[in-house]
Amino acid sequence: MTPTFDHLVKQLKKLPGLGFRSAERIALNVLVEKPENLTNLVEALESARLQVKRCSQCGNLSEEEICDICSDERRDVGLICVVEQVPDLVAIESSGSFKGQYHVLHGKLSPIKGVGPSELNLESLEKRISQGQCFEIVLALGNDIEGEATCHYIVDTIVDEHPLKVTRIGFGLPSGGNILYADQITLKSAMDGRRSYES
Amino acid sequence: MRISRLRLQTFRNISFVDLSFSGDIHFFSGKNAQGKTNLLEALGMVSALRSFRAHDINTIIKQGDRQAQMVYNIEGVGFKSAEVSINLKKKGKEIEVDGERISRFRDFIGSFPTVVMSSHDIQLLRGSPGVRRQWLNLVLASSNQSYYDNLRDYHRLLAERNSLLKKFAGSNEMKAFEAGLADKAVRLFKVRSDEIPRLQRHLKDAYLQISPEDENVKMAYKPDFEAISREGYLKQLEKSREKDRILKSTQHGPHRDDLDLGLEGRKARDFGSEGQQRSLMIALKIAQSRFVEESNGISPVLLADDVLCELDDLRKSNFWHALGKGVQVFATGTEIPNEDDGKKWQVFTVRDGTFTEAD
Repeated sequence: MTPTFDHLVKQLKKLPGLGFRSAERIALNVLVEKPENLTNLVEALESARLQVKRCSQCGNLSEEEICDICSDERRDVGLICVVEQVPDLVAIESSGSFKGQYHVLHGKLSPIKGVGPSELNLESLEKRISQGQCFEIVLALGNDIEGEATCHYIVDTIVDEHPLKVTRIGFGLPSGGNILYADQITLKSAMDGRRSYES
Repeated sequence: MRISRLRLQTFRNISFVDLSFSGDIHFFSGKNAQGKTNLLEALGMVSALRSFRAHDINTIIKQGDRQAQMVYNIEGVGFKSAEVSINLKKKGKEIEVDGERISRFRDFIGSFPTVVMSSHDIQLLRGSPGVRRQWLNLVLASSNQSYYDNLRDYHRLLAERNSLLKKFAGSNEMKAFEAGLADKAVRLFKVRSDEIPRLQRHLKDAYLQISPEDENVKMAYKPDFEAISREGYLKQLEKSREKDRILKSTQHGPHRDDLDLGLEGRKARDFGSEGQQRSLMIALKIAQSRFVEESNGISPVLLADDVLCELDDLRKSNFWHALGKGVQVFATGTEIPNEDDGKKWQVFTVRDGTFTEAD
């Protein structure tokens, strides 16, 4: 269309999950259809850029040095749940099942994609562990090969000789799910991860 | 299993074809480069979505077209019949079974087994270990789904480790990937050690049925490293880490395994006569077919590209005898065969991508 418009579409297309058509639609929407929203959007982007950052302790999103979860005194500081991304934290948090603290790695090891230990938020995890307050690490990473390798790395290199309990989240059937509709890999994990029945 | 109807659209040189198959044996006759093998290739794709001769699926799509479509009507898989539709596009494959989209390849592989016999088979004897490994993996994966999963994960982990070797990464990072690699290696080794003797038993039986001479054929597993235990393989990986770093790839493991094929205690590749080697090739394919049937209860469809015509009368007759009743065979050749053992072929004449059923 115009060079400036094309440039905008190109920049939007770089965002995850956006193809060319969606990028074009967004550009048209903010420029022509609903220009009144544009000022708000620009302002929101600018203030988010200035104010939202990583929590220096756990890597979660925060507007302060330390995020709300880390500074909440009611939470158990002895329990740290390690997740791959912020949305994973949000998902576990909304389940209300975990009352400890989190640690967000912002990725998982994948040499092919160029992600090594230095690309992950591991240094601060090491620091937290060596402070000695934590007694259990819950590894809540996915069970694909990179997720498993990352868990292995954490246990071998970071937990190392600290006297910690290390647990891995369970993998298996969704609650209320029917065995009939589960795929074979899930069923296999469910069978491998079975535990003794306690009423 | 039996394929009762096949429809193809813009598949290589075939614009459109709709063939119904009656009886169990079908012959495609025609001059060279008319489309006979293309049809067998299309039939074979129903097993593992892979062509037995092309690496790049884009070559399968007819020139100037965007996609190739295949629809198979299949009987005798379990207690039901199925309609399988495969849509090959430049950017990927879409599969539907009875109208239901299959999103994961692993849920599909092995459901509709075929066995291909072609002139390339001689590479199983004369070619590199990679050729034999690929064949072995195909056979084991189509009879054992967790083997396929392990193999896929093993190769992903291997690629990650090799990528670390190239970067001179630290040993802690290497260990993180070696742990998974060792788990998978042990499982692959176990399945190969358990199943190759079973495959060898079928090969021995089939060879005795095919070959006019009473010879002893042997297939033996030649593991590159005996990954009996996880610890053992981990130790091996650690030991060879420095060398692997220099060579920038993992030197030992199931990805270097081989199969030995021998006749009367000697390597078939070096000593077998042309006739013996040919018998061995056919016996291998019959063994493959029986092995798959024994494992998942489905008898594979046999696709014979230009090989049956080359057999002498005795071997040909032995072949039909060994094959047994009820196995569906699709064969190609330049000449319409005589009636084999009183079997009546359904013959199609192939010309420039069109197929006409002969009377």
